[in-house]
Amino acid sequence: MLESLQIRDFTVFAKADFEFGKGLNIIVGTNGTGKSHVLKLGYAMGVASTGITRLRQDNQPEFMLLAPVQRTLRSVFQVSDFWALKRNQDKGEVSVDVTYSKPEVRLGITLSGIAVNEVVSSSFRNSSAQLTTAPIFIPAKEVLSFYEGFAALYRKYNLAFDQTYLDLCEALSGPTLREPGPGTQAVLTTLERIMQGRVALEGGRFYLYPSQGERREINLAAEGIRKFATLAQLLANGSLSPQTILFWDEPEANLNPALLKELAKLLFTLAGQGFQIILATHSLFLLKEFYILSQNETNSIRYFGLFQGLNGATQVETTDDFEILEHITALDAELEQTVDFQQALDRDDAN
Amino acid sequence: MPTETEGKLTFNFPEGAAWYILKYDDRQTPGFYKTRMEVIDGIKGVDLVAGQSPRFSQVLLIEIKDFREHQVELEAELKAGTLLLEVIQKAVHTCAGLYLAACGQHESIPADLRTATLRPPQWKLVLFLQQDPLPDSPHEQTNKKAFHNRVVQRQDIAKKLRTKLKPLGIGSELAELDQLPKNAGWTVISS
Repeated sequence: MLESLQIRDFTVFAKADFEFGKGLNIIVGTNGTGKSHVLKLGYAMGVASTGITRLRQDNQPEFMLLAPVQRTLRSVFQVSDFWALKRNQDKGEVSVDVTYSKPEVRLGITLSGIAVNEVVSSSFRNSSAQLTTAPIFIPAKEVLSFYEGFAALYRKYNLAFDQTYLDLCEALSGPTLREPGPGTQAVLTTLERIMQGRVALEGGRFYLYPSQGERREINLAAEGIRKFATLAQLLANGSLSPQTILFWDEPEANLNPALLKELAKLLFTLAGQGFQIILATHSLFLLKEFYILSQNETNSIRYFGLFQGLNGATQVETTDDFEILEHITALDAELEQTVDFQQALDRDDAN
Repeated sequence: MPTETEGKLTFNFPEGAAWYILKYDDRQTPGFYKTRMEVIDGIKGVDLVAGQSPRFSQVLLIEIKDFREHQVELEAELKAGTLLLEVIQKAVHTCAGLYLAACGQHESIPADLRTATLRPPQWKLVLFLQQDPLPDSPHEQTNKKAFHNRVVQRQDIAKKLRTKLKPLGIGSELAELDQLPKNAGWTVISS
C-alpha cells in the first residue's frame, strides 16, 4: 500500500504531501494543477521500486540502483531530461519521498545539480526498496483497440505514448488465472453482466464473447465497454490484485452516466476487498456516486483537492469527508450552469 | 402558537413544544445584535434564532431569502457567489453574537438560551430559499429538464454551505415552502 508521497519542487508542486488512504483515493482539481502528475509519479516510483528490488536481489552495486528511477521517470513523464520536471528552474532541488506499508518500504530521491538539458547527478537518500509487485496505471485513453503489436512497436520506435501504455499492455498480456479469488470472481461476474459477455485474448488480439452469438473484435465494442474489459482482463490474469496499487486517470472518459454508476460501484467494491485505488477525476457525477455509496458502507474515501496557491504552486487539500471538500471546480461550474440552463429553457419556451 | 413573519412568509412553531423564537435582527425591539453587533461594520446576522426551551439542544439559525419575482437577482447572486457568502457569514456572525451575548449575560437573550450557547448546542443553519415555481411548459421534456436543473442547483447550494459550515460544527440545510427539514415540526405559509 502506498502510504505517502512527499514532493518538493516537482512540476507544479513546490511542496505537497499526500497521505493516502488504504482503499479509494480520489484526486480532483482543475486542469493544470497536477492530478495526472501525482498519479504518474506515484506509479513511476512504484515501478522503480520493484526495479530496484530486482537489482538488489541480483547483488548489483548501489550506483546501479539509480538506473530504474531515471529510466522510469523519463519514460513515464516522456521527458528527455529531468530539467523539465523541475518546478523552479533557478533554485532548489527536486525531491520525492514515497513510503509504502506491507511491506514497509521508503524510497527517497533527489535530483540535484541540474543544469539545462543535463542531469549532473541524482542520488538516493534512502533506498531500502523491497517492493515486488508493480503497480498498474490505467490512462485516460483505452488501450485494447491498439493492443495488437503495440508493445513490439513501442520497443522499436519512438511513439507518442508514455510508458504507462506499454506497461498496461504487458500487464494485459498474461494468461488468466485458473481460480481468481472469490471476491475477484464476484467482480468479474458483475463485469460480464455489464459487458454482456466476457473478454478474451486470442492470437494477440482482444475479443468480446457475448452471452449469445459469435465473438466480436474488441474494436467493435463501445469505448466505454473496452474500459470495463480492461479492468476484467487485469483482474482475470492476476495483474490486478489486492497487492497491486491501481492508478486510474480519468476513469469517467467515454462512460455514460449509467456505466459510470456501475464503475463507481465496482471500484468501491474492490476498495472494500482491500485494493488500494488512486484515481483522478473531473467528474462531479462520479464524485456524487462515490458519496452516495459511502453513506451505506464503512470503508471511507480519501479526497485530495488540488488548487493553485498564492505563489502559483499547487496546494493540496486532504479530507475524508466529501461534504467539506472545497476545491471542486466542477461544482462551481455546475452551479453556474444551472442558472444558464434555466435561462436557456425559459428563452426556448418563450419562442 | 409562536409565529414570525418575514415579508410574505409566516413561520409557525407548534404550541406545547416550548419553541422559543428570537427575531435576531429585529428593528422594532433592538436586541444584542442590533445594539452591539451590527454597529460594527461588516457584521451580519440571520433573521431568526429558534430552539426548544429549556434545553435548546439544537439551535436553528434561520435565514429567509424570498426570491420570488426576483429570479434575475438570484441568478446574479448565485453566479457571483455573493448570496452564499453572505448567508455563511450571517451564520458564523450569529453564533459569535450569541456567544458574546451569553458571556455578557445580555438580557435580550433568555437565560436558557445563554446557558445552551455556552454548553454549546447543536447549531444548524436553515437557509429558507424560496424561488419562483418552475414555469409550466407544454413540453413534458422541458418540464423534466427544468425540474432536474432546479434539484441540481439546490443540491449544489446545499453542498457549498456544508463545505464551509460543517468544519465549524454548524449543520446546514436548504428549505422552501414544500420542502421543510425532515421532522422540523414547524411550518411555513405564504400570504
